[in-house]
Amino acid sequence: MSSLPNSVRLAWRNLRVNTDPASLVVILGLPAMYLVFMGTMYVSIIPPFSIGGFEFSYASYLIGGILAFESVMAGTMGGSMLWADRRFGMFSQILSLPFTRTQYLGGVILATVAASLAGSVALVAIAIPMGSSIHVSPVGLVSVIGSLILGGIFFCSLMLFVAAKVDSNNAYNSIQIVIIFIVSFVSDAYYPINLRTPLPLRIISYLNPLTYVADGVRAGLVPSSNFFAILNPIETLVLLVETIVMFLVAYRTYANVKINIT
Amino acid sequence: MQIADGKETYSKGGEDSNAQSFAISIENLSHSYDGKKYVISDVSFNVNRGEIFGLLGPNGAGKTTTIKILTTLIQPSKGDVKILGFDLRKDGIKIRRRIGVVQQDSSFDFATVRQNLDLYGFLWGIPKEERTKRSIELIKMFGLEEVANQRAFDLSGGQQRRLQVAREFIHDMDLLFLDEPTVGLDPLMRRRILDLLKEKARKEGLTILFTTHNLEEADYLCDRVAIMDKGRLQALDTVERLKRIYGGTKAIEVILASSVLNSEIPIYDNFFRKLREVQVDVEVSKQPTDSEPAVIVSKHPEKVIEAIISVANEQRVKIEWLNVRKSTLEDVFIEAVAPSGSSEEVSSQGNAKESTTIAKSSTQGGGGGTSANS
Repeated sequence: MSSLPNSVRLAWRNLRVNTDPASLVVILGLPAMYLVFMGTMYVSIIPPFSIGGFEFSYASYLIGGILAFESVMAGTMGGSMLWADRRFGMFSQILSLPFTRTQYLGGVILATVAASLAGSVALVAIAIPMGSSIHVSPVGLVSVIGSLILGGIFFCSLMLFVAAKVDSNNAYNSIQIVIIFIVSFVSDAYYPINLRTPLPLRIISYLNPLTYVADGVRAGLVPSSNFFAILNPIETLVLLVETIVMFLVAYRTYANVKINIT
Repeated sequence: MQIADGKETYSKGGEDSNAQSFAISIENLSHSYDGKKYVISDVSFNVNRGEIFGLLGPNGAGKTTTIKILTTLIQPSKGDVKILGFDLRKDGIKIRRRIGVVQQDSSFDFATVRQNLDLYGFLWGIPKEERTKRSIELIKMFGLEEVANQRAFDLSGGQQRRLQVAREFIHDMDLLFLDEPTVGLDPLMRRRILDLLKEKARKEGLTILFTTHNLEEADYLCDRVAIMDKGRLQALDTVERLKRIYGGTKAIEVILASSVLNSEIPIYDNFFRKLREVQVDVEVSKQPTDSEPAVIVSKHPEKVIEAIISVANEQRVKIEWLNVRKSTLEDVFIEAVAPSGSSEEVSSQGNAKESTTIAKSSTQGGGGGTSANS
């Protein structure tokens, strides 16, 4: 372990520090509860529907959105890492060790992506007994993992931006809750967006990267023959661009962040 | 950083010849957070390798900012700083590989005492077996056995401070910065930590720079101290020399017989007037009460004592108590940072200049603390 790259070492430390039971309830428990409650409640009243020629049961549709939502929750964990480290003095302590700010940031993002992927595996294990239809193919796996990684980086960057900007605990928590609420419900994570969706919400949904993360994951869980019917490559490009922009904004803010919150 | 046999080895590349003499070399350091007000102004001093160096000063003197600069957490606005021979502005990582930092504010991971030590060792790249061994030793050394499995945030302030200091010894280092490390510690633990620091400096050649408000511990621990106030260096020298320079004014305590005190004659006033007639530099700094002695300040205590005895005989006044108090670092500190406009200001300013000259001459002389130490 001593020869690990610094960002990996920091990521491992972040995971060890942030995987206490309370944090796990938030990171993994909340998406799992959404999956179980929404899956079992709505599956009986929402009949199967077709997207891109593939017929989804609600449970099969939901799992893509829930896995995408897991990247949001992992992202909040990333923001909380910086926030807690600033608040409890570990940020300046770590920066007095032989680590650069960039390595610290890398550690946070790596931990976030790892948490997102690990949480997704656990959620898939919960979804299968609930009747979610999951097809695994090489291209599908790449799409799922790639989408979750991009989603993890985007939402981690967004939360890092907030954590770097805000100096009040209440403000940080409030902003985080508002972001989670808007991002998760104004997207196609839990229900499809169609022409009957009110225009303002439809526009926000199409700007919301969670929509593209969910589509990328969803496309990866259907048979490969239906892949491109579900996922338009332009969506992946939009997600990539949004992620790069958000990362750069967060990096710029983070680079100037005060080391302590006093 | 590489690990060999559980010990860190470091590249020594990049050090210049100064590195042979000084652990810290600071020239004309100034820093402003907002570009307008300077919290550190034109500070220069050197710290020798293996030296225990104290940075003293009242709140807001600039001590913590100085430590943050020296530990590369903030870039200075002006000045040149070399740490272990490395340029502060260019070689941050190389410097941080070889230093330890105990910051003023508490800093812990949301984990137990044992886990905090282990995680910190892990960040330093210390192999599992070695860091487990060191953690056990440190827990014992710092008296944390009973709370080893408690979360750091649940500990008392003193226990947290102990953990914070202990944690820094999980890794090897050449230079240790401690920002008020003994705050909140009981006297026994404070002494134990000070002794440990002394031992590390004497036996292992560890250089230590620490800040404190506790002048007794600076007196006990430090080879040299620098006194800062309002961002400027007011004095720098060995504790003993500072005492001689600033503490040249001795305090002579005197109590006259209580029977005299109860009389209607203002006996102390007469006594002091007579003293002044024979002694030019007598200054009564503290008027007597029933329980407290009068305190007479003079640079020539032996003459004052002679005069007191002589006047007492002449006045037929019995002396109940006579004492010359040894100068303490507190006397030095108070004189060095005396507020402007006070009656003490004139003498303290004069002394401050004198001592700063010593600091500067030692810096310019290239010998830094060596000349001051001698």
